[in-house]
Amino acid sequence: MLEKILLALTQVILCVLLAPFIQGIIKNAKAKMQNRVGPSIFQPYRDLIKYFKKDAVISDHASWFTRVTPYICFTIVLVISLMIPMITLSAPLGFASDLILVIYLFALSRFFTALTALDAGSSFGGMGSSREIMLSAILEPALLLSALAILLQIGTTKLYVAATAINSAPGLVLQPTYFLAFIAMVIVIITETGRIPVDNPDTHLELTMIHEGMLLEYSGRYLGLMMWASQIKQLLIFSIFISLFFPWGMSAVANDIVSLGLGLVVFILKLVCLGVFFAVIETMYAKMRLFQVPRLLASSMLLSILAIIITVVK
Amino acid sequence: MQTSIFASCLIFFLIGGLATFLSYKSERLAHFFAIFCAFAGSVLGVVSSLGVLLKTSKISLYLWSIVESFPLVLAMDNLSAYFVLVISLIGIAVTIYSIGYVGEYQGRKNIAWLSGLMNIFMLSMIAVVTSTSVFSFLLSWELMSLVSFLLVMYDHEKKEVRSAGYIYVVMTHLGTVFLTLSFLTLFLYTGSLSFSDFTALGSAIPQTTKDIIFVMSIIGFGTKAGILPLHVWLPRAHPAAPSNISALMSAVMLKTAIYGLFRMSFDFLGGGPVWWGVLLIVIGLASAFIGIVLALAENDMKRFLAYSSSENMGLIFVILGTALIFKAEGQIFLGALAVTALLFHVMSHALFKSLLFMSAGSVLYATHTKDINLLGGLIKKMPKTAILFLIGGMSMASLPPLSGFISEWAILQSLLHVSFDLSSAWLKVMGCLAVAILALVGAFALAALIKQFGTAFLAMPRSKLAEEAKEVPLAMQLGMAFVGVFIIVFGFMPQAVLALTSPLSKQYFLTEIKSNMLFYIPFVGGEGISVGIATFAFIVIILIALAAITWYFGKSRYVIDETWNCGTPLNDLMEYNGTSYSHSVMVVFKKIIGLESKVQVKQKYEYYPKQIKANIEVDIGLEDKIYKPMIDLAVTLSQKIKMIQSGNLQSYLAYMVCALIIALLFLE
Repeated sequence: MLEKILLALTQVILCVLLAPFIQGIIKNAKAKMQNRVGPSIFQPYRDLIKYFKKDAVISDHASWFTRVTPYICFTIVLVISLMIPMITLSAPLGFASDLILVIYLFALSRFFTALTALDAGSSFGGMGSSREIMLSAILEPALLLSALAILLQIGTTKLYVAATAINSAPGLVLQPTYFLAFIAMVIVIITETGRIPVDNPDTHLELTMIHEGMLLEYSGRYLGLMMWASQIKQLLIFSIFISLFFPWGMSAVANDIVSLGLGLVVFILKLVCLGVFFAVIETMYAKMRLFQVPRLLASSMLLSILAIIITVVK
Repeated sequence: MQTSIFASCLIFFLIGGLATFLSYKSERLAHFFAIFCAFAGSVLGVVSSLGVLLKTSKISLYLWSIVESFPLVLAMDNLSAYFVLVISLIGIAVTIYSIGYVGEYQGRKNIAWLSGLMNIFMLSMIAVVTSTSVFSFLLSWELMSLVSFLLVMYDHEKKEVRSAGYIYVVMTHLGTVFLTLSFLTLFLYTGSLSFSDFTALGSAIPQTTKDIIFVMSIIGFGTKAGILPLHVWLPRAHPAAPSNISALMSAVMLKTAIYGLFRMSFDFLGGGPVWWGVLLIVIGLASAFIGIVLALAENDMKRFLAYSSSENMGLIFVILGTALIFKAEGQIFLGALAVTALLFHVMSHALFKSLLFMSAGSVLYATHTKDINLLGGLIKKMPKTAILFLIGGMSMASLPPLSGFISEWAILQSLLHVSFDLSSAWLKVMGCLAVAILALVGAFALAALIKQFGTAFLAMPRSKLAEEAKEVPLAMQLGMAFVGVFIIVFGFMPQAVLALTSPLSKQYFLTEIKSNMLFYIPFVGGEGISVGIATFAFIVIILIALAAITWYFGKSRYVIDETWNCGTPLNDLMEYNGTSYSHSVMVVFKKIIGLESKVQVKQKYEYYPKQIKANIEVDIGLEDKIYKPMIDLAVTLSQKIKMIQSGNLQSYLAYMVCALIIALLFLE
């Protein structure tokens, strides 16, 4: 029992502390590939500390939503972090959760973000929120389908069961479904984390922004919490990807320090590799027009459906 | 004991209805008497149905018989009891709410009529789900349709209310025709009009006849449930009715159709081939998708809710189809899961839809408009209504930790297990695709909720109506809060609902789905989820996070200032309104929904327009493509038949004589 609580604590603290680091890695890697020096990989930490120390300004039209949403979103992502296998093949809340609950918890945090974007009455917030719900409407089926393409072979929606099964049957990887689902999932992750070619996380230009548009009315500690939450969300999406596609190296037991330590190192390495991978994609492509994105997601869905059909026919 | 409680429940409704009509001249007194009767009747309904479900005893109440073969018997088995419970639970909330809501009509209309008819409406719904023979079923079904028609027409001075009422009464009778036909076909084969004989002999009917009965009852009950393309009355009638009545109609009257279809397919026909289930799933998915897209496009708060009912009925059809597939495939564990999901969703839809209609009614009460583009900023004027609307809405969008999420989860799991555990490749692929479409529908529901709530309750008021709004009377708040509490409790403790559904899953699939903390699947080692545990984690983490942040960075400080608007003062025209909010989604699906945007520019010089007016219309073209040809056909046929209507008394007498002779010959 004690070691489970310790593991849960480790997992939450790991997410809180590691998320800005992954963000820093991506930004730095992108800058290096574009022949810039780029910010230090620890810059996101400095930004967060600065936000937390500053006073906030709240609109006179805003209701209690603006003050409550940042805490809710920040906490929801931490609750989700207990449901995804990271260091070990099991997750602290794995027994009481599954992929559907995780997806709906993300939807809950998106709900509060998109609703609060309307709170100040600014048209930027409305625009960001309207675009976000458009993308998420197509994103959710795409995400479920790409996950199903893998889960169909295992017959469960429990993430830790899936991770364990894939870990013990490396043969799964050599199947064509795996590659199709992999590409489908990559497209979904790019959209879900708001990266180029779908959204640009570094811009405040109203023509292009989606997620940043919703955060425009936050300041000070509230902005800090929202930024931190979106960084943690990015880490969680990467972890879901890891546990569905390459869970190898996760510790099978929860009470052996050596294998836990190894699991931790491997997990961080995988996250860094994924970060660099997405930085490469961001560098290679230009941002898409907003109404082209549904086509990209539709192609992801078609790939997943193809993968599902191949699995079923076999 | 049980039987007498149920009898007194019916008597309260009956007295509440009849006495009101006799004494309608002292309006307020009659109104309060009717409300009291409705409240008492609903409470007794809850008590008697709980007695049946928890003790698994049965109630049978013999009323009277006109002739020997037409006895009027109302009885409660587990299935009936579950639906009586849902009806009377919502009944309690709506009667409390009505005490305040009739203020909207006071002085303008006779409020005693409204409350009196509500009693009869409740009585007819309870009679529908407890009927034991075709005779009493159709009688109460027709009573329910007619009373609800009268209630829809309550505000009949308005033209759109009248047209909505007439469309409703035509459509509902179309449904009754098909129901009568399917019951008569059953009568032909079983030689009886009683439901118990249908259950005993129904499975021996030849398969082709069964198919015909099944399809006819889908049309019949589907009309009442507002399933595509028979939903046309729903978005018209529900907004036209007074809000307490729309809450009853949408939350519970539609459920009587689900009850009927369930009874028909599981009890009378004893399940069927796999394609029955597939048919229901396809119809349900189409209904859910089109319903929610139209809901998203809607700027009228009550029409949005009506379309969302169409969507949810679609969901229930999907899960009913899934249960039929599991029955056909002999999967008893998964069948039990699907039946539980079905009943759970019946409960949670009744709860959140009644709450949403009541809170939309509260907005209407306070602002006298349903158009969200005229509202805004209501969260400051009506904070309690806002929170209650939010609870109902979040449950509608199936967000954890509310009861809507639990039922959505169970529905998705049932469909996923079609893919995971059945052997047919077609069914596997269908299961995956159905899950994807439901995910799309869920995301749309979320978007529609943000649009409605964000536009009506947040930011700045868009008209004088919204500026002058005040919080609604306490009775209305209490009625809404009553349902709100159940939505939250059933989310945290699904076992409370599972205790009521387990007798049914046991009756139909021999497996009980029950648990203490987790909602689990009785299959492969019992996988499950627990929203309660997740919420516990949420509370622990948020407390620690708040404490840690305050300790390290100090107390949160903020100043209040204007919203940044690039230097110019912000006004309400600059806000995103309902139409603009959903426009981006509409553009993506414009081919499916027939989106048309017209931009009119009034200008003096070409590049300096004085006024730009943008109008966005959504029309899926069902009415033009399906209804118009049918109406034309009906008109042409009627004109042909008109020939015999000569206006000559002698020829009418001759028709009667002929009819009599034919009838006598037929009897020989």
